Amino acid sequence: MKEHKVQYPMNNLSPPSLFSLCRTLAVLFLVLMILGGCATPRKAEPPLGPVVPPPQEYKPVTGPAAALYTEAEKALQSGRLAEAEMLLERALRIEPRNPYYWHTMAQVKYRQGKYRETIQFCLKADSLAGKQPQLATRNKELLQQAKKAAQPQ
Amino acid sequence: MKRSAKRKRVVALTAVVFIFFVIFAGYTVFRLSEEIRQRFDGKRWSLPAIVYARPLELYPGLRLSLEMLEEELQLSGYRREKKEKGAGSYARNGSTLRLVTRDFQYPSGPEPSRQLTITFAAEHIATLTSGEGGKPVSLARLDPARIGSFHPTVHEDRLILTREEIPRLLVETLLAIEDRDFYSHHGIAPLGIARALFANIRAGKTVQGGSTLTQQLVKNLFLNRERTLWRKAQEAVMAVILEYHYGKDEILTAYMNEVFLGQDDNRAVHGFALASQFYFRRQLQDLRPDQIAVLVGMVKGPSAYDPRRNPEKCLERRNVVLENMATHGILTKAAYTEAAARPIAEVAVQKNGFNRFPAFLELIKQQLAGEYREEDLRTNGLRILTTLDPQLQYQVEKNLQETIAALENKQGYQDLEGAVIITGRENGEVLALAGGKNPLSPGFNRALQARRPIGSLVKPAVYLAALKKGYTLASPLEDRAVSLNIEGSGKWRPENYDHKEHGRVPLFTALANSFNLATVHLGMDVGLDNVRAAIRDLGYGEAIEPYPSLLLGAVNMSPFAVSQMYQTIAAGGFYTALRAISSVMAADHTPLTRYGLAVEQRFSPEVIYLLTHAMQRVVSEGTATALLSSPLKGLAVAGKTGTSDNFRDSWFAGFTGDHLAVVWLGRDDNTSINLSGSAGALKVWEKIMREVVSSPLKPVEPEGISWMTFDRATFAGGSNGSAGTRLPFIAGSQPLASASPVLPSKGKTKKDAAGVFETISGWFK
Repeated sequence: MKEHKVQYPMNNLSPPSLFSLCRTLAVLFLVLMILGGCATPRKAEPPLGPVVPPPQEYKPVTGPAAALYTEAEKALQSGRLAEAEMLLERALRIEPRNPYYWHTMAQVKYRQGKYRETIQFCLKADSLAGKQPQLATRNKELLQQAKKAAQPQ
Repeated sequence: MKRSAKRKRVVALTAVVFIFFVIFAGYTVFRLSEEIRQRFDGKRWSLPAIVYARPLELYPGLRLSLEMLEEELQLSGYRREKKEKGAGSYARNGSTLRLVTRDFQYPSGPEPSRQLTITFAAEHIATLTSGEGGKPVSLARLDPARIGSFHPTVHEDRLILTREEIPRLLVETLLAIEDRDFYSHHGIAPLGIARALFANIRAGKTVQGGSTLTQQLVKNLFLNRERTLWRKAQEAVMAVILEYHYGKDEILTAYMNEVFLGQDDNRAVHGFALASQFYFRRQLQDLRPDQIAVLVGMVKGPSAYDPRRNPEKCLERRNVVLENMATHGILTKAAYTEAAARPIAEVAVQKNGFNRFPAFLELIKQQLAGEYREEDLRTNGLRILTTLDPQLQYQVEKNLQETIAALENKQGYQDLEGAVIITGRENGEVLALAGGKNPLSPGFNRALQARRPIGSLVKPAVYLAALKKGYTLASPLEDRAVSLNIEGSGKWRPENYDHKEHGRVPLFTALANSFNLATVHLGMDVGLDNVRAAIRDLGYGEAIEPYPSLLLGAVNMSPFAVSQMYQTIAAGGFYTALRAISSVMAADHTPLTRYGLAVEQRFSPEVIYLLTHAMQRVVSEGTATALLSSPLKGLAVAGKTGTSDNFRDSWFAGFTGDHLAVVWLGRDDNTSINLSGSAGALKVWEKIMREVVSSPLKPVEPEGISWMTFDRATFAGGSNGSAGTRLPFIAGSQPLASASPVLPSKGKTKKDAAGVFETISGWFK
């Protein structure tokens, strides 16, 4: 299959770390706004603290291939997509039914602009996700984006 | 006057002859020079493609025994030592195994050699550490075993070294023995020739060769083995030309890679690197002085001084070389004494996997055929990384052979044959493949080439089409005699295996017990086209005739094609083309082709979940209950038995949590073997899977599934907890408590069967 370059619109899925950072900042901003409204100087003092609910963390459940998965995530973040793909294939050989690995594979395919494959990997991840709502949600988000992107313009 | 005129004529003639000679000689030299440059600059040797097994991944918790790991190491050409030393060595001590991996270039990049210490406890890896400090390692892979190569039947084999990779000791020894003046002569050494001549005359026979390394190289590369004066002259001229165009190091490196050092059946062992592997299982840089001396000594006569066949002569020759090394100061006195005292040892031929798996290699060739020419595979030195699991492959070969022998004994005939394919359940990678009971005989590969009726193995496709159409596992089916008019060939009256009718049976029971009559009724109701579509969606690409006998498996497929279909069921409804190759690299390790993972959903997870449940009941209460009295009981295997007409073919296809295995037994002449699927193929399947580490099958339950107890007698659904059979249903399709079975919207089970069949009998062509 021939690879083609894809422009990523701003509203696309971003790397998890960036994703959660933005969310954290947004929540923080909101909280500060609210606190600012009824501010007493003492309360406004700590910018970060238990007042801010921790963002919902996406914690992949990993097994013996955890190291490969971490490396694959890193490769994905820095755009080394072919490498990420090979690492995930290796991880999936060790843990063939880990839905998180399948989902990350879908992310790699999305970044490669292979939307049809993204959809398929999302479906696969979903079929193995069982009762893991966070993964299921992320999976559905990506699936929707891929479906949108896969439609002819 | 006359005399002077005559003299002039002679001089002129001589001059002309001389000029012609010079022109001719010049032309010859020029032509030779061009030829040499062309040959030397281009691809010097045709290198067969090398095929590798999958790399073994090690991690704490992996279910692997020390013995299994040792087998894997032996296969990969590792050598056992008292203490591991140098890449490719290992040492055992109690339940601890220490090893040093070898460098390996993967498509993703190089993975350098590393020391690993592995401790075992109760059939699994307890700890995995690296280096002297014992730093814990979470995951490490062993460099993969070389399992074969593609080459003509008679061929040269070599491992190519660069100048930097050649150990100094080897260079010094070789030059001391074969060509002392190598770095100073211009291709030929008149002094050397004179010295050799003198020595030979004095001895009254040939004791020394006068050829330089360059001459030997020219002889090996460009000339035939003829020993004439003319050839000797040609050799000398070419040696000078070679020296003129190329540097000493380049010539030396070419020599090191070219030199012939022995014969391994049809394979000629060329070059010091391969010879080192072949005789000592060591990398060249790990050889001791006495081992280097053996190899250098063999240059004079590879078969005369073969350490395996002629150990005494080899020892004698080695000691001559060692003495020379000492006199030339290459070895210290002490090192010489130590080396000379060593016996010729550690040269035993050891078990290895090289070209041991012709059936699997054939699959590789077949899968490469689209992209690479035969020529590329034989000459370009491609590196092919495959998915073969050598351990599994051995188990498949051994157990197929043994079980067939036992069955033959019992049946009283000799020519039973079989085929087995094992794949990874989710990724469709071919882990092992047997094309016949004798793994080493090439030729008819039954796994790929035998096309046989699949019998009841087709039934899951029929039931899948039905479930897709709205049937449930509890739907009542009529297991009653049926007679179909088939245009042009009269009536077809299928029968059950036990020649009985079982009346009204729930769908899952009909599949579990492989009832033919119920399946024909079901299939005719679902429609042959829907059944054909299901077979196609499962991954069978060839045309299928829409005869009703299709419902009972009158369709010919290879075991490989059957694996492809069952793969889609095993992988939860996702189709993945079965792959035996993961990637291909060029000789210089540049990645060329990658065969990546791809999946495609063909069936909803819900219908596959139901089908898998019914296929687990094949084992728990149906035709494969033999597995219940096996150690495999706990694996919750889902499978299907298959038997063709007159017991010509015996099949079993089944999957665990990790593996799908398909087994076929039959005869090449297509006569009856008198074995049903459960009496034949299932036995082989059981024997193989018993030896394989595999996890139990636990299908992930899709969201839309709910469970309900079901009364087999009344077909009524009950509340959870009440007595009966617990079955999964797609939410909303559960049977009602009132004992009136839920029929699919277009269910025709109540209608007179004959009437239905008459209206559609026109289709049967």
